[in-house]
Order: sequence, then structure tokens, then C-alpha cells
Amino acid sequence: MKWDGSEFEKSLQDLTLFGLDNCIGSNDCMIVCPVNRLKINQHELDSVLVSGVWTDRVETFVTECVQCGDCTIACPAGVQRDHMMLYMKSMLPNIPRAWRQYYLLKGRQDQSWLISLYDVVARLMAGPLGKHVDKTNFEKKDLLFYFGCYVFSPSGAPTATLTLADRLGLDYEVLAGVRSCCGWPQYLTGKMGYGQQMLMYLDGLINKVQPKWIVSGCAECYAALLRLKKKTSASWVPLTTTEWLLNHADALSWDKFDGKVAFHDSCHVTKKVGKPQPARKLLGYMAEIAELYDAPENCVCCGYYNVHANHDLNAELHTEKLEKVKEKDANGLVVECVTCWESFKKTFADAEMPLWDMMVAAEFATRGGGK
Amino acid sequence: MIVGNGVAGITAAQELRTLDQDGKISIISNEDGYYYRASLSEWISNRNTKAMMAGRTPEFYNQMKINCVTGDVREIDVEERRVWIGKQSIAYDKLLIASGASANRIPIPGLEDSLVFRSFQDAQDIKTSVGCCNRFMILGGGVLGLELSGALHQCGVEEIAVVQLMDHVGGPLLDERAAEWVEARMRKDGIRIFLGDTIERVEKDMAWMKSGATWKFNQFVQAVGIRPQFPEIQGLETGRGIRIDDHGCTNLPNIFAAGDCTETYDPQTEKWRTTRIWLDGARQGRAAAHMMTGNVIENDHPVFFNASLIYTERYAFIGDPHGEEGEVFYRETESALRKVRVHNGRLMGALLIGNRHGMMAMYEAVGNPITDIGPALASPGYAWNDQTGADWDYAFY
Repeated sequence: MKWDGSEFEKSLQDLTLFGLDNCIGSNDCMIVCPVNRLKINQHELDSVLVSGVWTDRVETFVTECVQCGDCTIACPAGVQRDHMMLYMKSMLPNIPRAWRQYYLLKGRQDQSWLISLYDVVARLMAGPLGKHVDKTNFEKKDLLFYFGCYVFSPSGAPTATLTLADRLGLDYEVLAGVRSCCGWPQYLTGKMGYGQQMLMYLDGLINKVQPKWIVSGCAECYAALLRLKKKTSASWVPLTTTEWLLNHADALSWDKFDGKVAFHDSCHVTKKVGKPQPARKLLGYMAEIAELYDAPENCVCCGYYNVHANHDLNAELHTEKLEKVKEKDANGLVVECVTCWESFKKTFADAEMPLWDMMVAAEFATRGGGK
Repeated sequence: MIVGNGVAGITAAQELRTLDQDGKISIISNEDGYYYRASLSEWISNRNTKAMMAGRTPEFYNQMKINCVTGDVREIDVEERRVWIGKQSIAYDKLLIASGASANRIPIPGLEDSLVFRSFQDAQDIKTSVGCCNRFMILGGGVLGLELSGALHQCGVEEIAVVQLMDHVGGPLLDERAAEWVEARMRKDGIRIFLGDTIERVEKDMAWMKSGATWKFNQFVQAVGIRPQFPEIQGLETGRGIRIDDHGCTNLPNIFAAGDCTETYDPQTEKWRTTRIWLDGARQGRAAAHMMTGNVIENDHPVFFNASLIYTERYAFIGDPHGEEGEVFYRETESALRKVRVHNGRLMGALLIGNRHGMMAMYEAVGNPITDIGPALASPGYAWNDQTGADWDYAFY
């Protein structure tokens, strides 16, 4: 039977009901929430969930939720508040304008004037990578780099990744462009059917390549790949760019950066998948690490996945992060997720604090030109 | 008509409104609004404010068209279908009794009065005394006593002693190994634990234990369990609590019951057992609401689940981790203890303290055949979601 994703919506309903029954009102979820500027109490959320009568406060809060999952970790009763928030997102009476703009191109398969214009402009924007943007012909390769939407990222991550692969003499195929969006942004904003549709389109593209490994530098894309593999029992193995490069690290010659650099853990990779160590190991090849928190899972989210619903709120998170980096006397911040990089870029650029994607840092550290 | 505004009562009211948009719903209680009884310790330890303890917003009751009546139920006239509150009576078509339970008190020679830990008022009394007392003695080392000792420790009480009749803390929640782990945490924080002991008498501010040990206190709290409380109704079948079936039905027509005031029949042990768990109370309230409107819902997930705080640590008790049959795997570190029990290739239950990673997927997996039986099952990294095909894991992938 083809996987249609409907079990996920059922799970969300079940988890919401379970959460309503089992919530003991510790309010720990709301205390630890990094974006609870409105000082929402948990009972406000549950009152809306039960009555179906939305308040402005709750509606705003739901759109600002970044799906970091801190609430679920904090709950003494085992309530998965992040899933309940996702369910609430799926029930929102009004979809924020910023979300609609964000969805505008991602995953579209139609041939409207907008997507035709995109086809022309996008390939120009992507520079040398333009040849890969939303291409339809693929070669069968063991190694597939999946850049999706982040092929356009100004972080330099896609180019650095391919440069490293070339340096290692690897043979690979590339999957990139907004048509191959993983659908995770849609999942995280409660658009389950939409996300599912995109994930299945991605599955079709992957099948053309028949890879053994699929590598992504975006934590959300990586999460989507994990889900797709599980649900379709695929044989390929999803890897973060960090995991992939770590497998080849000893084949490269590394120079170390002066001083310490800080590392930002992504919510998906560190907290949800539980893999904080590969990034630290890889970063260890190129720098001394300044840990920002007493434990990796205590890191604070970059705020990206309220999908620009509140720029000011996210700016506060970014400034906090910047101050933390300064406090630890680090010379810059390294991230392993391109989305996190996108989120932090303005605040860090304004403060002239270096912000590197892991692949960009690694590419620089393996050029062989000394420090 | 619902008597009681705890989790069973409020869940029933919510479900009734969902099932019947027009029916009249009234809740009678002697407390102001639904509050989170299970988080009183968080209020004592100042993690929560009083406002946070409210279970629903003030507007909620109007939005749901729930009429709240404050008062004590004096009598229920089954023949006339009327509930008497003082000198007033209110008619009902269907009645749900969800009147909860009250704290037990053990008479101790020499101890004229002591605090208990059950209601908002009890918590208020404890919180007030924290300001003036620095030596707390807690009688009862079950989950409630340990939770209270943790809250008192967190808000800076200098000396705390816990007296437990059993030879380990935690009651049936913990096996000996898990209890030792929790006891070690408590002792590290300076909590004095008297095991296999009880208090024979009190002289002024000195407690004399059966073992001969003594301990000086300036505040005494009893946390020795609860007993169901409910209005007397002629012909109603009761044991320690009101006896109900899986759908919340009592032996009397049009009278239903749910939550801590009830007891249900356990076919495995062939005994009646009282309801003590928050989640069970909510589920019973929901099931009763369906019966009150003429629907029958099956309890499709009878697996036991309870997660909360034991001392200051988060725990999850899933299924039946302490059964005697099958294989048991532990994983113990300074910050966590995880126990998993399997039997005939199926997951029977788990006890997770400190690190509860994967607990919801384990909850879904109880009773399912599992693969790779071995010590890895107790590891936080074990992929429990893969054993169920469900999406109940934290990360949903």
C-alpha cells in the first residue's frame, strides 16, 4: 500500500487528546519556551483546543511557535506539547501572510508564469550550481547531495560541499531546487497534506538516482529524509553533511583556526535525532570548540521555523545567541544546518561576528594554505 | 449534572459539550474552578504562580456553556433525581459523581495536628509554613511524599526527613534497584530517610520511631495516601470507592462515576482497585460522558501510563515493568535509570527515570512483538518508533 501520510494526522489528533487528558498543569512547557514573549499559560492553549474558540493571544503564539521541542522535553507528565502545537497550527483560523509568501514557490509542480519565471531567474541565481536546479534528468549514483531549496543559500554551503566532494575525488549526483522541497516547512506549519505531497515528489526524484547515501546540510531536509526512509522502507541512508564529511575527514589535510569557535546545535539533529557528537568531532579537526551551554540539548533554537511570523521575536533569539558567543570568547559561530545559518545571518553580519556553515568552514580548513 | 471539578469532572463536562451542543451542563464543587492538583508541588517550590495553577481560563466555562455551582453536596435523592446543596436542590437527568478523594491521616499519639498534601488549601498551608519552618518531617515515602520532599528541598528547606513503612521508597512504582537509585539522589541532597519504620509517638517537637530512632521537627506533613470521598447514596454499590464498570456506570440507573472517588474491577487480580492516576481519571470522565449521552466507547488503550516527578526527577511508568516473568534489562547512570521488561518476545513495560527518551513510542509498543532483545532495549537511543509503525515518538521520524 502506498504511504499517504494520513497516519500522521491521526497520530497528531491522538497525541493532542492524550496531552489534554494527561496534562497536569506544571506549565513547564511554557516556562522553557524560547518564544513565549506573551507569557502564555498552558491552560490558555488547552482551553482553545477544547472549546475551539481562539483568542488573539493564542493565535499569535501558535504562529510564533518554532517547533523546537523544548516544551516536550520539559514536560513531567510526558505530554508532547510540540505535537499539540503542530495540531493547533493545522487548525489555525488565519494563515499568516509570511507563511503564504514562504510557501509561494516551494514544491510547486505547475507551469504558471510564476514558476516559469522562477526557472529562468533561479538558474542564474544559483551560478555554477544552476545546472542542477530543478533538473529532470539524473544519473544513477551511489552518492546524492540533496540541497533542495538551499541551493540558493548565500551561506556558500552547497558550493563548499561539492568542492569538498571534488577534493575527495568522489562521484555524485545533485538534487536541488524548490520543486524538490522536502515539505518539512509545511509539516512544521501544520500543512500536513501539502508536506506529504512534496515528500512523495521528492521520493520519485530520489528513485531516479537510486543512491546508497543521501547527504543534506539542512536539518529539516535531513529530518524529512529520515521520515521518508522509515515510511517507505528505502535502502538508502540519510546523512547530514557533517556525518558524511566525518567519514572522510582523515583523507583530508586540516588546518586549525586560531582561537575558539562556538557551535550552534540544531533542534532537529541534536535534540530530536539525538546526534550532537558528529559535529563536535568534525569541528575538532579545525578548531577548539567553545561550548555555549552546559549540555548540547540545552541549546536555544535559531527561531527559523515560525517561518518569519515575527522577525522581532527571532531577532531577540539571534541577539541572545550572539551575546552568548561573545561571552564565551569565541571568534565565531559554526552551524551545521543551513536554515540556522539563514536565521542568524543578519544579526551576526551586523555585529561583524563570523558565522560559518560547517561545510564552508571545513572547505576553508582543508585548502592546505595554513591557518 | 457533575459533582466535582477535578480532571475527571472537567473532562466529562468537555466531552459532554462536544457530544451535545444544547444540553444543560452543571458542575457542583466546593472549590473555585478546576485547578491542577498534580502540580501543587511546583507551586510550593515557586516554579509556578497561583495563576498558572488554573486548569482553564475564566472565559472557558461560558464558552462551553458550563454552569458552575459552588457548594457542598448534602444529599442526592435518586428517586426524585435531585441534588441537594444546603437548602437548595437542583434537578438532574443524568448524574456523574467525580468528587475525588481526601488525604488519609494516621492518628499518632502526641501529635495534635499535622498538615496533609492533597488540596490547594493544603499546599497553601505547606507553602506558608516554609517561611517559618526549616525542619520538615514527612510521613509517607510514596510518590506523593517524595514529590513533596523534592519541592521542599528545591525551595530551600534545610532539614527534611521522610519516614517510609516499606523497606524502600516509591511504593509499588519502584522496584528495589530503582528505589535505591532514588534514595541515593535524596541522600546526596541531605534528605534523611527512615525505611521500614513508622512513628510511634510524638513528644513536643520530637518524633519517636518504632525502631527507636528520633528526629526533631518543626513542621509535620502526612503523605500517606488518599481515600475516595463521595456523597452517600442509598443503594449505590461501593467498596472503598464507588464501584464502576469500564464505561463509568454504577449499579444505579442514571448515576455514573469517574476519577479518584471510584474503584474498578481488575480481572487479572480479581480484586477491586481504586483509581489513583490522573490519566485514568480523565479517561473515565470521557467514557462516562459518552454513556451519559447514550454512546459507548471502548477503552482502546488500556496500557497503564503514568509520568510525573519522583523526588526531583522526571519518571515514566509504562505498562507493567515489575512483573516476574520474562527478561529485564537495566541501564543505570548517575543521571538516569531505565528498566525494560520483555516476555515472550513482547514489550511488557518500562520504568524510566531521569532520561525518558522514547517513552511515548514505548507506550505504543507495549504488547507488540519486538526485535533485537537485549541490553540495548534499555538504551535511550533505541529506535522504539520502529517497533510500532506509529508516530508517537518525540521526533515523529
